Amino acid sequence: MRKVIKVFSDVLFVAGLIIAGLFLAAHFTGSLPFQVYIVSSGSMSPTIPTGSLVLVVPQRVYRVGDIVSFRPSDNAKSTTTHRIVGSSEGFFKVAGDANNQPDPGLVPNSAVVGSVRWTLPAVGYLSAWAKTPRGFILFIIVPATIIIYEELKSLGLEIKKLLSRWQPKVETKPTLRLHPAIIILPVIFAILISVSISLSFFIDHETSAGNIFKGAAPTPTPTPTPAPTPTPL
Amino acid sequence: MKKLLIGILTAGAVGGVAFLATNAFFSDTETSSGNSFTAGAIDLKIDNESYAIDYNIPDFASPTGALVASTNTSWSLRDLTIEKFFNFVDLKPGDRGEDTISVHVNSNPAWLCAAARVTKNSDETCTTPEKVNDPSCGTGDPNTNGDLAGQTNFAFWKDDGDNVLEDGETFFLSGPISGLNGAGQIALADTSVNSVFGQNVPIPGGTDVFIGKAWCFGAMTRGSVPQDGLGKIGTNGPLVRGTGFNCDGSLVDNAAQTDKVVGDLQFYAIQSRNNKTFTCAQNYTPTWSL
Repeated sequence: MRKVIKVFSDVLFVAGLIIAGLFLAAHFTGSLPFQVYIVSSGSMSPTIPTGSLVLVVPQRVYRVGDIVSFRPSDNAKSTTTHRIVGSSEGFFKVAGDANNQPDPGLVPNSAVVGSVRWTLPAVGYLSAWAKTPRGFILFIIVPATIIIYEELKSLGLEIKKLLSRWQPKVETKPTLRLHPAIIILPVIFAILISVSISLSFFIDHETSAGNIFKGAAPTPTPTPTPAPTPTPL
Repeated sequence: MKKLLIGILTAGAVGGVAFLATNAFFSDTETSSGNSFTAGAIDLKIDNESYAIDYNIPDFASPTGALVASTNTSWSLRDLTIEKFFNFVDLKPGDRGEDTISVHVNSNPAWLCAAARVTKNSDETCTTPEKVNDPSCGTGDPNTNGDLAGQTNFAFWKDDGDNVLEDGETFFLSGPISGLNGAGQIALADTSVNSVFGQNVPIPGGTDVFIGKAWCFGAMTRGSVPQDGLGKIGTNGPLVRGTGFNCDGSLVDNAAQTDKVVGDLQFYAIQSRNNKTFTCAQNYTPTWSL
């Protein structure tokens, strides 16, 4: 049992290091082959429930039926995630699955960031919470501080050990060491904090068509009944 | 030695990630609260309560020229399919009507826009008296050669639900029907200064908002009906207190006789949450079916 826990925690520890490494590498090279967004509303439900994390990958061609993230305008801060319901000559008509009506306007091919390849429900809520000051302190600052403090402390001990190799051995008290697997916590939450929101607006519209106003025809002026011609006697 | 390396690696990785996360946390202006999710749906529903002169209501049994409730242009809260706000015939100068629309957006606050278009304003047939005032009757584009849209005036206002134009209720859109095509996107609730229900004030989910509409074949003027402050209570409607406006048809000539006006009216709702820059003018394009 102990061994299982040991292996599991080692795996988590290594995974944490690898994820952190990838995250740092992606950040400093500025290149990611995909985008990750949190879908903030339910207009694509039930396919993408509110608060899902979606992995969006650029494609060469987008087809009707694809769920895509796109920038609704050039300077839009957030992307929108909806399904393509029609296309013509490099423009797409998009709609939320839960909306009665398609979005107004058309989306040019160049505005599409990528199509949704993978959906993880509910994680967005965790991310949103990590973005609150409370979540940020609890899930990033506190564990990161503890880990770094612990590591520096044991580093100091190691260095002392190295230096004291030529001197008579001193018994070092075994220090209370945090499980290394805990590094997965700040790493995962750091990534969640960096994920941006993708919108998926609810819309609806209602039209009353063919309203009619019709002018009256003139009231027929009563045609005078011709006076009977007096019959000659 | 191995322990030393792992220690440096761990501290470096966690420190680096925490540093980036801190940067992201402080630069993330998009949203830093958990209150940014919008579940549920937006389902726009409309009802209409309509009053008109009985002669103008198609197939009205034994009309007397009184203002009555128009049942075939009134309906309860629903998604619109075949409902018509206006279906009035046999219009004579001085005829008028009043409708109050109630707009309901369920479960989520929303921005609300409207748009109208006139699809037809035609002479139809040309009567002898009509030709006197409209010598070109029957010529030109049969969809725009009519005169009724130019002689029928309308007004829209934010009503409190009682179908009466009361003191203090001001028009946000008025003029001849022919001007509706140029009205563009009407901002009922959005982030612009023109927003009828107030700038940056979305329509709350699950509540009704009311829009009064009046039409008059002739010149429309306000009549004074004091604000009773009651909203819709069922006994303070236009049949009891009047519609709140007057319709003077004395200056209308015969040019609009037998003319026909056809038009569409659309309402559009979009969630307001996470949508802080929405304006009807820029972000809403009416989509007409034909």
